[in-house]
Amino acid sequence: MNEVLLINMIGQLDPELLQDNYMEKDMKKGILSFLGKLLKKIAKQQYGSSFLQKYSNKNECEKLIEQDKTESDNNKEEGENIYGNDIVEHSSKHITDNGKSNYYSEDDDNIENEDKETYDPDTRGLSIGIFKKNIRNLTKVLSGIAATFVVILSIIIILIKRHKSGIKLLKKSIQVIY
Amino acid sequence: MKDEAIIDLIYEKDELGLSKLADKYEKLLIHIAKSILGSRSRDIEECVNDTYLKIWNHIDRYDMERASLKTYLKVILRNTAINKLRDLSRREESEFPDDISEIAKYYIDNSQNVEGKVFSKENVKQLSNVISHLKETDKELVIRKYFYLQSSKDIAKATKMTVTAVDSRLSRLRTKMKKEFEKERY
Repeated sequence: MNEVLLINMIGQLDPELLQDNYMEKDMKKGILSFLGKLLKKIAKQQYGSSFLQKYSNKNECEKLIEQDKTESDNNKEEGENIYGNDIVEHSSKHITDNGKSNYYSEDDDNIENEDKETYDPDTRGLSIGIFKKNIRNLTKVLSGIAATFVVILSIIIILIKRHKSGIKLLKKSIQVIY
Repeated sequence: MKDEAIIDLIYEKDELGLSKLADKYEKLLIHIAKSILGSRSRDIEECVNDTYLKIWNHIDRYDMERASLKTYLKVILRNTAINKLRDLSRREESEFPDDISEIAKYYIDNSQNVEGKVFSKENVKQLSNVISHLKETDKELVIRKYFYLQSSKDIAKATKMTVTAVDSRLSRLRTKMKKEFEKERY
């Protein structure tokens, strides 16, 4: 059948025959797919913003570290200015030959490390992200726990069965002896 | 607003009826026009406005018992869009958008060959008989392809078939319809 003729003729069909809802279905599908795309976009944007948040937190942390550093430097300078040469002389007494100061003990190093940890840009401000990751991994953890539980249970069952069969064997051997 | 109320308003030549009609069916009409005319936004807009004008002028011809207002609107819009395609075929060196369906392109290229052919009411009745006896899925394929001029790709997507399956099934349907049409004729 000629396609062009068919197109022309089909337009003159009785409207009763054309009471379909194909296009409405397509539209609904289109809306659904559009919504899906929109949700994906929103999810992406959210991911992006969280990334930006992390990034900004990182920058803030770095700023804080720099601020602290400058403050401590200023304090040092102030200290030098206030106490002057007396402290410098006093501290020089405690400096060893290697150039290491006796003032700084291992405990001080630990405290410094702790401070570093609190100012660490990788750990600061990312607790929410880690928490999110934890939620994502929650199912994995739960399935892992369930799997281990099943394994332990099966081991227990096997042991019990072996034990029972052992008892049976013992009984048999006792019977043979008798 | 219900269709009856909209029709009443249009009968009374109240413009509110037209705006309510647009509120209710414009999205659908644009969707159908888009499937026929591609992304020609100006033509789509013209087509939809022409549909409103036709309904406004010929509301007295509308028979509520035969079909719903939505179906009437769809038929009017489809035929207006087909006329637009025919106009395109007359315009020389006109560029068609890429997203126009292959069947619409084919129609533009070949519509002049069958132009002026008048179909008798009997012929149309025979065709409607043939189509009404088709299976529901076959009918859907035929209506989508030759009424809405949807591309095989879109039909495949909507009916969850492959493009080749759609094309081969349609070609088989055409031969079957031709045979049935000839039978009805004699």
